[in-house]
Amino acid sequence: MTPSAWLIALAVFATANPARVAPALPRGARPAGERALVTVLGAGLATAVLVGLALAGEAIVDGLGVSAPTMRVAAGLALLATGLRDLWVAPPGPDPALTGRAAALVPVAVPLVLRPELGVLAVSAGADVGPAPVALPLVAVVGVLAGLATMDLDGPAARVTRWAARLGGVLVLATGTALTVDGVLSV
Amino acid sequence: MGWRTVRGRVLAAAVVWLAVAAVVRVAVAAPEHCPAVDAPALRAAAVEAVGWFDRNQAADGTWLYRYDRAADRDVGGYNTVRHAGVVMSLYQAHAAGLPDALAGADAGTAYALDHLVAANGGLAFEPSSTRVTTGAAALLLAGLAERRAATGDDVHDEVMAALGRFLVGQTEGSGAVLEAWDRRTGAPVPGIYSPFFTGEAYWALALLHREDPDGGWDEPAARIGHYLATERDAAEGHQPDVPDHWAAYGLATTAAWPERSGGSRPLTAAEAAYADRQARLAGVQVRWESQRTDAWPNWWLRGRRTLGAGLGTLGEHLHGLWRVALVDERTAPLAAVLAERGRCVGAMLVDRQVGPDEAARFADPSRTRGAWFQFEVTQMDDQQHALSALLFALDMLDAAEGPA
Repeated sequence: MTPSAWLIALAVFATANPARVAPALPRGARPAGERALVTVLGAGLATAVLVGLALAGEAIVDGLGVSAPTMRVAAGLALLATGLRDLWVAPPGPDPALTGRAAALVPVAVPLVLRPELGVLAVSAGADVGPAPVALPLVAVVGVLAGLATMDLDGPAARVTRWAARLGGVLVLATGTALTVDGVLSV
Repeated sequence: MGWRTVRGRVLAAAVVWLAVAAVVRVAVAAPEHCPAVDAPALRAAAVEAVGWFDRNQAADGTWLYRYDRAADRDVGGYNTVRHAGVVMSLYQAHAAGLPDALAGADAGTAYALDHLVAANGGLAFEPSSTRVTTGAAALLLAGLAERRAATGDDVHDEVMAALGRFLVGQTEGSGAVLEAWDRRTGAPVPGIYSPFFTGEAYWALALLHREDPDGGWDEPAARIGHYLATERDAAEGHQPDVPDHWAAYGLATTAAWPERSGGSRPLTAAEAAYADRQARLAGVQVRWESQRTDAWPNWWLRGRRTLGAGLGTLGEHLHGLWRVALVDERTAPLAAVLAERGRCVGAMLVDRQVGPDEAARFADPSRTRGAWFQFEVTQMDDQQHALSALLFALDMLDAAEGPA
């Protein structure tokens, strides 16, 4: 009746798409440790908001007067659009950004990690299976982003992240399709 | 302030959030309108539907077939299968304790019994056409079986057996059911199958086995059930599968056969899998229908609200599958949500039925009150399917609330 927690966790990780976000993280003249700290702060804040949406997922779905399968269809379709974007549209750049550690807010939290497709997915997943399959992959995303923030993504590293971002887009399309079909064919 | 400023970037992100939320809300996650409904409201709506049949039955036992309330015009036409369907639904209403249903159903039965024809080793119901449908005989038999169960009256047993023989004769070795018998050729019309008559024959024979356990009706019923579950949709070119409320009736009746109902898996594996697939077809239809408002832009995105018959068949479909879920462990996890969707159908039917005040605004309230209209027109099967679905929503509500 509900999609597996593994499918949702994969969808969350792929939709967050750290490889696509990584080139847009604020670097400038910051030392690697500072970059990682800004990234953890910003992505952590976004994660907290998204987990909050997942915790409130059932209440939000009830408040909207829709069933969980219908919300799952909405999340699936949002992911399909996201997957196409990830495959065909260039990722955002690092600028403009707030200076210093405030860069955790802009651009790391907004608009790089706290994105509406993740919000819709978090609400749907929260209504379906609770917040854990949202929280755990997002924590992993924070870790991956922190690691990537310390790296200079030039040359081969840039190519690897570009292809990883495209692979993420494919996974978003696949999981979006699965969620849409599952939502349509649910009672 | 341009995009290339921090403020512009935040504003753009906010706009994207709002746009996504708006698109999701309007286009996909529109509110599902399942008004609160209680047993008295469901029962009152069912009584109103019975009242429509009572007021609109002719002396010969037929009913007003199609009526345009805006033009106050009897649109005419008649359909034998739907006549039998109304009879069956009214017997269900009588079984549920609704007053006045039995007399109208018996009058409708009398009309049918006056128009029986010999066909394929048995009897079928057809007043005029050379094309004798399997569906009319099946629904007449189903109605008579419901009558027998509710009243204990065995006066129609011989006719029931004859109708059963006709249905068995129309059933092929595979379990496929031929749509019609040709009076001119004296043979079944080959190679033509109805999307609904197969399920109707399945249910009717399953009921006949329930009423006449030694008649040998179980084998053809089970053969049809297996065909429905394993072959019908592919063999007859239905893509996607037919959402078959008659098959759901048949599955529920089969699952309650005494010889099958001892354990927790009364259906065969194929039948249980079919019930599961059917439940999913029914679920999405209810969710879609409950989002319809007939207002723009919803009308453009969801289409116009369905007929009373369309909504009613959804309720019948859900109830049959719910009854299966109550007794077969393989679909048991669906029972609660099937009941929830079934109650939603009941609530929508109550909400959309023409009440006395609305009816008074039209030229002929007696033909309008208690009915369901689309494009100002109602057809008797709108009331038939809606009546059955209201009774079933009541059943599911009672089950959820438990004994008083």
